[in-house]
Amino acid sequence: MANTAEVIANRQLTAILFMMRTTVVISFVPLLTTGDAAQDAWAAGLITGLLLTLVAWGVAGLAARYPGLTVVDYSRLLLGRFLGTMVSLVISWHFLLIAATDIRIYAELMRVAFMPNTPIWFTVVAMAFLATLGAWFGIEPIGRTADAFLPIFAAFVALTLLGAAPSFNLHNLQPVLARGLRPVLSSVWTPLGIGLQWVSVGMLFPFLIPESRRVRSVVLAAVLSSALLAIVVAVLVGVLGADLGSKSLFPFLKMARSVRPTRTIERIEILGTVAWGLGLFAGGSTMVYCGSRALSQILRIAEYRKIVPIFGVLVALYSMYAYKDAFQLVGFFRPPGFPLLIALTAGVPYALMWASHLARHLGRRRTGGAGK
Amino acid sequence: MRLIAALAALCLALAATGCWDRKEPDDMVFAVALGFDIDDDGDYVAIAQFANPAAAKGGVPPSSQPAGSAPFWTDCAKGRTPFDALANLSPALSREMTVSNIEVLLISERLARRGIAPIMDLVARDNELRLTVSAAVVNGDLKSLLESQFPEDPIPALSIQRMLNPIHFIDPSAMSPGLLQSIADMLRPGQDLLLPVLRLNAGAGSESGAEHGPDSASDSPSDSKSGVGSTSPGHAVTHIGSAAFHRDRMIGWLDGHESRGANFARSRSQHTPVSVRSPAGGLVSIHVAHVVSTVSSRYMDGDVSILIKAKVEGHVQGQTGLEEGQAGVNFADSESLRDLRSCLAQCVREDIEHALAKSREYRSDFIGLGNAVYRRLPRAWRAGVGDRWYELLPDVEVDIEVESTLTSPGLLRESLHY
Repeated sequence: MANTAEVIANRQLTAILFMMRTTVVISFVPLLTTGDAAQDAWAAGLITGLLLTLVAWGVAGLAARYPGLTVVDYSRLLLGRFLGTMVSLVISWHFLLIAATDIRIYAELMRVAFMPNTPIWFTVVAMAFLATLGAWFGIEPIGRTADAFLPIFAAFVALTLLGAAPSFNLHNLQPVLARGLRPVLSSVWTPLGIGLQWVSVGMLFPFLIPESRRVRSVVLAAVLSSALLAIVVAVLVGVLGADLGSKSLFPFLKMARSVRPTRTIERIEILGTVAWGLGLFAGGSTMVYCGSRALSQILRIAEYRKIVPIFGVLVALYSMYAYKDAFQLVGFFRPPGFPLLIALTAGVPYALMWASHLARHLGRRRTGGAGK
Repeated sequence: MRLIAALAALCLALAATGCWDRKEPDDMVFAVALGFDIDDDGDYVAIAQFANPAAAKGGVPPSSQPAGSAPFWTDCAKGRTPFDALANLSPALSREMTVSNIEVLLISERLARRGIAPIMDLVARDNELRLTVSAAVVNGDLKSLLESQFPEDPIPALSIQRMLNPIHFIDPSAMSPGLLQSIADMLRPGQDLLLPVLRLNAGAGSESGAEHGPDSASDSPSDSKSGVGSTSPGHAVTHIGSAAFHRDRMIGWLDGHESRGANFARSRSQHTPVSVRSPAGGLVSIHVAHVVSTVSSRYMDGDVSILIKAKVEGHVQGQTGLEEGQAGVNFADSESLRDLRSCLAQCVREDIEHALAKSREYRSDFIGLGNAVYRRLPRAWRAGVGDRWYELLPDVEVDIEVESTLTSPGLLRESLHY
């Protein structure tokens, strides 16, 4: 059972998930860079949004059926102690993977675009330290920070898009869906795989109030972030063109650096970069928090804070050593490897848990049992 | 714990004080213009202009300043790649060079004809260079052009940047599309690049000679329309005409009329002067302030045809033929206005036709007819039209429709006649 002394509002969870999702997907725009959708990447964004909403509903729906329990608890309940613990360990690794990879992407951005002479460990350690600090304070401060950051985050992303709008060329988005759905679908899987972030819902559900709106808040985050990403990718292609956009390492940054809204207002990339930093804090600290909580439950350690520093160090080490360079980082997300990895390590466990839940439910109905 | 948090916040605040790395501005030297050329051995030549803000502040012309206090200086270096050439500028500098404040990127004709893909690759890849920079091809010696004197600004790069990006004044030439637009044009299927040309006028250090330039290509520089194609001999550098590319290689020059026609067809024209024959005799000058064009394509029986529709809006700026007894155009008369509009439309149509003729001659689709086919008829494009587009271009049927509007006669209702 989770220690439910801490509580966050559903609105705060929506803010955390929205920023977490938007940050990483805006960073290297996998809708455009990992598939062949080209000028139709916005359509890939909409399809991804639809599928992500289903995933969000699946994850949140299962969590809602076990109130007061984390994914560690109900995975053991549904799959048995051994398999459940294995699944919980894999989910803990997901938290580590997400935090470390998000931080590494940010560190690569800082190195490539702003501070080429600064060693990458500096940015990694700084961001991992911040995430660890956030996790140490608990989910309530993270939620309040997300509340405070969200307007700034949204405003900075919106201002970057507005700044780029004068350079928008509708011709770059044409022809529309001329090559059929196959190229569009090729761009769907990696962004959908990044939806792995929604596994954090399994750890955060017991802390959410009010209970009646929990699933709605998770689904709302998926819908809002997907809509924003479709808009971002449409503007991005309209400004940079499909070719330059898809060949850029960080297309959103490239777009912001390639436009000059007026003669006096230029260099607007700082807005996007700050927004990204805010989102990374919200996402990173949530992941360290969830990871530490999950591990503390698996290891039966009552106080999760004992795990937080260790998890923070693991995040920093994973971030530095799991990827040799930007090439390997980009390669990691390339389909079919990445989507398959996520499907196997997250999709299959959740499918098994749902199957077990339904079997239990049907069994109970057949035997006339009541309750959960 | 609160103390740790406060310290962490303080450290982060210190890191956000504006300068984001350990480079001191005092240890840096800022390039404001960058040029690339290629020599006989195939080596790239990078030419950079550096600003000396302390000297520029005084507003004293460089010639009257003591050595070392000029507002700018220009250096060049060679290398096997554009980046090599750029890096080789450093040994001659006592400070670290930064190109993040570049205003213009100039490319020599020779390099442009050889191919500008390596330059575009460097610019798009570099973390300091930005795609907001204005680009142009130089007709004449690039280094001499960068060392030319401009009466308006002590630093040539600033004058060149303003020349390439006219805002309010009338300019008949192709405005610089900026590197973002240039790279997008190069990458877009069925579209070629058109870059503005800076011409180093004779007597200002030109080595390549201006007789092969865009101005000389003009077939009627002093015709009835405007001064398009004429140069200003008093100035060291003139911004006139364009350089047409096929993929990344320059194919040939366009004169002022052709550039203007291309810009009309691509909706990229702005504040253009057009002089037309007046129905009452003499010439009427019209300031074209707004142009919107659409290029649409049709595919019937295996043949592609194109329709260019241009909507032109302008106002009357002046007229000639007001000698004794001549009343000039009666702007209250609807028939005179119709004639005038028709003349303006005809003039714009002719410019577009000139541009189209050059496009066919060079097999460079700088108007973007192929791109219209690619966008509107993607199946036909994929079915083979795309592969054969440059073979088809000279014979593609193109209709041009121009609709012109005169918004006002200026601040006079009737002409002044004496």
